Amino acid sequence: MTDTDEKPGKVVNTQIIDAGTSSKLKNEPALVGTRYGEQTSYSSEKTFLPEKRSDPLAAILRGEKIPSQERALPSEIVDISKSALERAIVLYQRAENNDGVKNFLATYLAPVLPKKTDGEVDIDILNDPNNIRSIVEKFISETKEQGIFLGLGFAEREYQALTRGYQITQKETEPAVFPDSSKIMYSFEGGVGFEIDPSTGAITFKYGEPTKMTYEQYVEKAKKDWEEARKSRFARWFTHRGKEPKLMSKEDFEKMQTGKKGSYRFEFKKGRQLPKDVFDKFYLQQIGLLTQSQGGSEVLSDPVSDIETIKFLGRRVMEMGTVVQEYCKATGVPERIRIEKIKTIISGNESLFSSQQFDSVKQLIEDQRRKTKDEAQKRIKETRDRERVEASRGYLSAEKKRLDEEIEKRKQEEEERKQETGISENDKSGLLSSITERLKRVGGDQIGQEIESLLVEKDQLTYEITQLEAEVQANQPIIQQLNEDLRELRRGLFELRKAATGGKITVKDKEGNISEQEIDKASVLKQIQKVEEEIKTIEKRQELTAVAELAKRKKELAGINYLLSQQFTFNGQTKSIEQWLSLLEEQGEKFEESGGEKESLENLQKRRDEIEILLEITDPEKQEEIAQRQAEVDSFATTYLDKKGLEELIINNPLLAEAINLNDIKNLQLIYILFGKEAILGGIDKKERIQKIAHFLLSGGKPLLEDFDLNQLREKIDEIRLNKVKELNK
Amino acid sequence: MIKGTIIEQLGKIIGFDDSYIKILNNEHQSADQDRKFEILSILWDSFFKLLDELTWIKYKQYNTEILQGKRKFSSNLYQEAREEVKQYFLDILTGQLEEKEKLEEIRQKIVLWAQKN
Repeated sequence: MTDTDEKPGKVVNTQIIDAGTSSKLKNEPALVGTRYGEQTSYSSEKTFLPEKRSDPLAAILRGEKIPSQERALPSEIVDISKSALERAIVLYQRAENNDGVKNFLATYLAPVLPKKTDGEVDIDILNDPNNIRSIVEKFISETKEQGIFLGLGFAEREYQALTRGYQITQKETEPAVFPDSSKIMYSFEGGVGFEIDPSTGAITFKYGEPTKMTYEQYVEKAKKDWEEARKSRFARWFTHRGKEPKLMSKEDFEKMQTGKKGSYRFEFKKGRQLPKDVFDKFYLQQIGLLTQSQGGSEVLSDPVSDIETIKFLGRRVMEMGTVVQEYCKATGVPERIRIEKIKTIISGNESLFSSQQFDSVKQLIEDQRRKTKDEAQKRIKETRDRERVEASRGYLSAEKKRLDEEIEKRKQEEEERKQETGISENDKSGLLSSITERLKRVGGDQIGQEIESLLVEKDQLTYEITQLEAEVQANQPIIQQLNEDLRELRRGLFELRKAATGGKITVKDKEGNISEQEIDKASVLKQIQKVEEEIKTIEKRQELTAVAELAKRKKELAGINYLLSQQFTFNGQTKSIEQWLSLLEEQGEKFEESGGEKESLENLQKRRDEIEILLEITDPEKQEEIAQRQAEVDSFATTYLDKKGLEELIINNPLLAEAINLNDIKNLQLIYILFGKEAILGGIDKKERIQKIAHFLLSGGKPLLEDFDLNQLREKIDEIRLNKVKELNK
Repeated sequence: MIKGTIIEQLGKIIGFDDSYIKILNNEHQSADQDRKFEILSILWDSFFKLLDELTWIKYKQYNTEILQGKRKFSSNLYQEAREEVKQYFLDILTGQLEEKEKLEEIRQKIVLWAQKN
């Protein structure tokens, strides 16, 4: 076949750059693939169908067999290698005007080129375009496996150019499952295959059903491994720590038989930037993927719109997958590593050949050790932190449980009380305020908030009245005398005042003779003053003030009795206010008897809600949801929060409005991150939850409504959680 | 001679500082059984991951050496790379790594000197 023979797609330049003569894409039937390992049901044909089914090297190399390679490298690898070398030569020939690429290819091919008699590499041989295939076969025959490796290395370099131009993503449609990789004594072989739909170019890459080992095989293998391990100091150290191997029980062994085949699809899309490397650009131009637009700028063919590009990339993916699978298998790479590497090499993140020079390997090893060390330290720290979180969460859970029990107990007590008295603890404040309202209507504004003290006042007045009545009764004769004296004095005073205005007074002498006398005004005024003082002195006598106090108290008592006698209906029952207040007083006494001053049920519920929400947002299983909402908070703000009518809904959310300013969109976004959109959008069935969130925010959760950064948010949540635990520990 | 607790040995291979190994060792000794298991699991996971990663680096190096004609192909190539990494770990544990690295440095210098002259 010449370089103008079959091409895998129109996009490819008419000058061949493909799997080459020894492999070709089968267009029919619909599914093509390659199959290795055990029989699998998912592929029916080989993608790269070798023309020579016997030893490929023997066919190439003068008909001589090379036993080591015959055993070691499958024909697919040799075919791919030869095709890649052919392409390298074609590219060399076409790179005349690009010294950089030409030199790169010449250096690349030099190790396998024949040497002239003076010992210099015969580079001129590459300039003969007539029989590229014979040149390649000659290279390989003279250099044996080095030539094959060179071809594989070039195939990988080409693939690297593609992965720099295109993003190749592997999507799991049915993930393969492998046994626990840490169980080093256990392994089993599976197959791998590819399927391509030629009409769309879509590829499915399948890992075959793993071959399961029997328990007997496992025991035999484990014993053999142990014998091998005895020969190695290191194996003794890290595998068995100098002890006899402990075999898994049959039951445990069966549990590990979890391997299953997987299915993956690939997606291709253009990279964000055009490749900058000189070889990459040259290669992409030559295969026709990088062309010039009418405007003169370079354009990479788009796999999203060009099926031929998809097909080409798909074939390259399959080819690279085949190389990795078969080469790794031929060099003893375990299946779990092999499958992992197929994935990373196909996506362009790994390679089979080190691009580093030998001297750099030491650096690579050090870098890897540093990376592993950092990851291990991070994991140890994270698990340590997690343990602390779990410990404090455990403490909070216990506190929540205690509060739940307390609340339940209190509710039961309430219920019992209600049954006994007709009013519950919750009814108390409502009843008192209703009574106050009623009494204000009856007694005016002088009725204050101290309604509950009316009964005490009544008792006090009744007691004082009893005391005063006893005192008055005991002093009755004195009181009578004092009252008579007062009457006389007041009469005398009346006369004196009259005389003071009339000029004369009637005077009675010792014998009873009455005569009128001109008054001495100054003397009269003096007498008036004297009488007034006498009256005051008498009025201040204890015996008489007791009488006045008694009258005053009786009046006050009559007022209170009037208020207390008012009839009042509550919860369907009509009683006098005195009866209602007596019931409340009775409840209070029971309350005292059952433990004195207790926290209200409402407060207990608030405390329980706070802890419950704190437990929710520190739940490790919820962290992913929180992170997800944090990532999409912008779209939340532009979808839900922009909808007309939502604003009204938010403003009408009284429970949240108690805790935060709902007009601040940042508050709503952070509420969304922490608790999800139902916390904002509300609804009848969400009332209880929103109330809990509001309680949490009011009890110290508000600092969480400051920063969108997830790390900051987590730090604050941690701080609140730890502070809560400290507060509970006090 | 391999010395120290398993924590110290794994810590050395993974590349922890001496001070961190001491902290970890203390934490391990005073921890409950669950935490002990967790610490050891992390260290063993890291150890096997490092073994795999370093083996792959060595394996790629061998592949490149075959491509350069410096090494013969072997169907046991990966295992050979793994054995070399195991030996590397053993050298870390026995304190022979530095000595070997110094010798390798000198050997490389001699090779370069010979190539120049």
